[in-house]
Amino acid sequence: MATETGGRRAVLGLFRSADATADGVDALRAAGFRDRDLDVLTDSPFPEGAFGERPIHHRLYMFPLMGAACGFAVGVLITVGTQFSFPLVTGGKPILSIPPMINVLYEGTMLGALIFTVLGVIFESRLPHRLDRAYDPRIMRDGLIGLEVKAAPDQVATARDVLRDAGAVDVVGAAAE
Amino acid sequence: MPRKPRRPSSARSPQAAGGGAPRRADRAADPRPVAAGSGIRPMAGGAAPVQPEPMGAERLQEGPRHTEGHPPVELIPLAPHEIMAEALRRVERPTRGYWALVVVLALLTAVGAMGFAVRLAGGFANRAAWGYYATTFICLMSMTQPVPIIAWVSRFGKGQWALPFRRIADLFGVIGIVNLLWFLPLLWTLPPLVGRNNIWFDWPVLAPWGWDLLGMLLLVGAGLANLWAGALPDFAAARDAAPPGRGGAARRLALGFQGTIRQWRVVTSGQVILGGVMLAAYVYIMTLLVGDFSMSLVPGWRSAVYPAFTVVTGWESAVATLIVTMALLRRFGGLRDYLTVDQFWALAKLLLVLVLFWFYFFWADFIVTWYGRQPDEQAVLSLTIFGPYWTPFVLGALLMLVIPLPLLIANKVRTSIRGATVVAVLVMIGTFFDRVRLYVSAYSIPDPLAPAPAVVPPTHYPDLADLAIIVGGVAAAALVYVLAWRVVPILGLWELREGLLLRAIRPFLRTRVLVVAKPF
Amino acid sequence: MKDRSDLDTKTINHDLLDFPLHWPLWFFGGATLLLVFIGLGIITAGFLIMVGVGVMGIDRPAMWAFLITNFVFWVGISHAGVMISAILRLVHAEWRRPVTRAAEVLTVFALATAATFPFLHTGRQWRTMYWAFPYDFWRGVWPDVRSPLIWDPSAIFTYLTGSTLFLYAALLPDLAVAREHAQGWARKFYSVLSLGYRGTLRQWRLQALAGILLSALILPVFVSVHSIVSWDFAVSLVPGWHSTVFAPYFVAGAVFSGVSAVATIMAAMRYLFKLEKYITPDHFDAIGRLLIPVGGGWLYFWWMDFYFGVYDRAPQEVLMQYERTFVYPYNWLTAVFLLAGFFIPASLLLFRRVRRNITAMFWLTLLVNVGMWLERFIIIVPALTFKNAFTFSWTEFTPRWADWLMTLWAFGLVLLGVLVFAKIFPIIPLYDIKEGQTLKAEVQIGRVKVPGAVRD
Repeated sequence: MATETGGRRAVLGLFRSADATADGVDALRAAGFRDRDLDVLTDSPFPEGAFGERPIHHRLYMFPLMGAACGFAVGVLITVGTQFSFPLVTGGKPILSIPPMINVLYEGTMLGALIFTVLGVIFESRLPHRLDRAYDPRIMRDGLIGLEVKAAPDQVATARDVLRDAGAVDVVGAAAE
Repeated sequence: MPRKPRRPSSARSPQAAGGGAPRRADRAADPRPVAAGSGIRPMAGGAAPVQPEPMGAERLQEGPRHTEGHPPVELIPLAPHEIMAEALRRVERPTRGYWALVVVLALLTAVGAMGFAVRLAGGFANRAAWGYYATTFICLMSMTQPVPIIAWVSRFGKGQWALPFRRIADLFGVIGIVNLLWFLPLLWTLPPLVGRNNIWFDWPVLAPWGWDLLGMLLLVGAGLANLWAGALPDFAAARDAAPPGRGGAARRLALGFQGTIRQWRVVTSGQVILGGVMLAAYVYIMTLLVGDFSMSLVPGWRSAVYPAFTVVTGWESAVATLIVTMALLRRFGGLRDYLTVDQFWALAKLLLVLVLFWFYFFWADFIVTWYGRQPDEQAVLSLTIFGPYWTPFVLGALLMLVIPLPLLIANKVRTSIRGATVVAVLVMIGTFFDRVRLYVSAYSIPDPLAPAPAVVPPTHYPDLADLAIIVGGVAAAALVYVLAWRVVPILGLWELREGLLLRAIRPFLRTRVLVVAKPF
Repeated sequence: MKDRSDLDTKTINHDLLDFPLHWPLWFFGGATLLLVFIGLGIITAGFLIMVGVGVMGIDRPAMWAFLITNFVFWVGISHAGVMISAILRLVHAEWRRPVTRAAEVLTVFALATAATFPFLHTGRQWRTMYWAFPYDFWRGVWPDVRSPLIWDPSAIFTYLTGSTLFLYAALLPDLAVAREHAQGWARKFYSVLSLGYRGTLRQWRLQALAGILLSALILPVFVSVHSIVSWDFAVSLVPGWHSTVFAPYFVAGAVFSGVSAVATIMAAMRYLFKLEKYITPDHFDAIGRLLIPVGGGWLYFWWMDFYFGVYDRAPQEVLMQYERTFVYPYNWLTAVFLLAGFFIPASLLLFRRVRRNITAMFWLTLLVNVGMWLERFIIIVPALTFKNAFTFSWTEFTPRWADWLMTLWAFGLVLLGVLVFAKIFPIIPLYDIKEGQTLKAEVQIGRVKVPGAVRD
């Protein structure tokens, strides 16, 4: 499936085995393609570094912190606000009772952290994503492994050749110019 | 002690290379060279030996392939016969540093004995004077008795990351002897049962002295039995490796162990059972100690969660003690090759959970007590938290919860040996202050028979004798632990060898992975 | 790791997507039966609203009975998900793989069902809504955050939201697989939900991190939820309730009943969905071993509650404990809950042969939950029945038809929820099973090949 990203085109090679895919990655590197232009698509996770990829950079840890701060702030607003708005002494406890507040603040903080974490996962995973870009249903349906390479227009043919030579059962993507 | 250079992999046991390729990866050899000091263990027939690192350097190395900067796993770089030789050398030929340590600890123990003598001379009539003695005892019970249980939990859950420190943990069982001796004088500090709330409901037969003593004997006995059972194969190894005319102690302790399949089954099953007994005994005795030496001395104090709080915070301090012990052994005891960041990381995770449990059990008690606004319960809160022991409470909370929690949440601290050790030291100090607010306060109540609500007495500060007792108590425990190394190898030989068999680092496509075998 | 199978992608996809993509006859029968239960419950709820709470068996002073027992029970069951999914994920237990999603689904539906009971039990639910969510705030009447009855909705809402989001985040990869196997409107449905998930290296890495991060975040929430539910009772001054150990006692009981419920569901799934290759005796062995220390912990806390309940020998407290433990009918119920809830199952679970027998595990874990339901009843009703010093105000609680139907309704709602979920989404995570196949390894020791796994 062809796609254009800043003038670069995505070529997708489909492989039957992880070994062949790793060979394909090596071959593409040897042919001069950069690590950041390569990606592997699988229907299940592999150990980190299995295809020789570099560690990903992400900011996922910022999301729970932000969410916790927001949740805490909302919790303070609700607990302090309601206690001062309706200043009734109940059970001999002070108007601003900190111990009961802690329970609600805690839940608010955790709720914020959880919601933001999930949003962060979706965001950092670059989702939602349109599937007409660099994808083949055989990856999820039949368990084939996709090796995506983003190539400049004059490198598309090289990419296709390298993928075929590495053992791809099919190569989909931009045709050679 | 100079660090041993790492041996080339060809000298390692062929068993450590393992066999059988991981599924979906059939690369037999990785053509990429292995960089020295990269943290990647070379496979059999692999690269040149790694140069020794300077003393004190962290072995933490961040491999580029780990997203979170987590350190790569390292396996012990020694062959089984090398491990055995080192372990037996430590038993038979201790270094000068070892004897210096023994002397220092013995002197400090003597200081503690003098403090105890001063306290004893004052008699038992003034219960408040024994508050710090009781606190030190409870601290030792909290920090040392649960440590073998940590090893047992790893056995029960088949956690192989714990193999290098299981013997180090089991050895804490000998400190039970110190705890038992420490405990005996405390029995004389208790007032009569009749006229006050107590966990015995005025039961006249052996209560509380007999049942408390029985619990202590059970716990200490189980700890010693667990240590002996686990060391049995190593005693046999020492017996067989001893030159003619020597090794009598090992021979007697080995009881003719020969390593038959049946004997191995008895040893491993026995340790699992003894660990369960230790756990039950620990929970039992701590429940009794909390009831007798704290709660029942304070009129109006009734808290069902308090024993559980003491048990769980005891585990927290025990994990901290184990981390500190391991760090000291790694730094000064030459165990760098055995105690890697893997073990500290795992214990730091456990410590994080237990720090959260400190807060949970404390809060469970506090919110119910605070909420009810009952006069007697408010008086207890005033005694143990808001009143004369506010400072120990704040220090305890800071050092056991507020500071450790964000530190342990941070990856960099949790995955570093230094970070985990610093946090552990804070937790140990915090445990002492936490116990001060619970036991010194209880001992300072002048009349446990008074009706509730109790009058809150002023803060009882330690005197010189108390400080000597605290120092001496810790020194005595450490002394017994160190002396035990002369009898029981600090390295669990057979467990380390088992670890070499059950773990292997193998290539997987373009990376290396740890393969962990789980025999059923 | 004795019972490991070698499975390829096609087999896994076929086996685990079979139920979502096809319509076996038993589904219609089962769904109809559960809908009948739910329908009876809705009719009862309608009666409750029209006629009043008197249709239940409650009367002064026992104003909380079956509805609140069901509330506490189902909140307890909801703890299964986090225990199995989060804790086992964090300790890298391989045997969690086929179990995690079923546990998480059970959590979501059990919690949602539990949340309905506090509303129903008040009789006038629209007033309860107003009290918790003040839409009439210009009168200046706000919720009292000092009350545990306000802590409850905050905790349950947090846990429900967190569990649902956790479930969804972990479902993304399988939605992508289902997308490629479905047609028509089903394909559109999965496409929208999957957000275009492709299975890139980045996405898988973030899935792994999300699993760990969300597990670490939801664990404290799970502990707090049942603790807060326990404080509905403990912060009061009712004899038998005012105990500091209630929080860990309730949480331990929740984990015990929740994990047992997961084992029951697993046995049912294995039979109904023909998942013998995925749910093996190994899993039941592991769950059985987990149940022993958890049950032991629960028993310890129960004993602490009882023992320190009578510790200060307060007359009303001693009387209530005596009535609860030694006087008919509560003595029988106490004996049954102790035997059924702990002593019989725990004794049998010590034997490996029992743990690996799936039929035995199904019935034992069901027995545990019978005992745990009774335990909640024994905590709640006798304490209220005997809470006053004046005996003329004592009335015995006797359950009526409305109580039983509402209990049946809850079972129907939870089971239907799980069934419908399994009909729409794969109940066993496909990618988790495939990852398990990838990470399988063996270590040769002498002549034996010891099964192992790659530790990522």
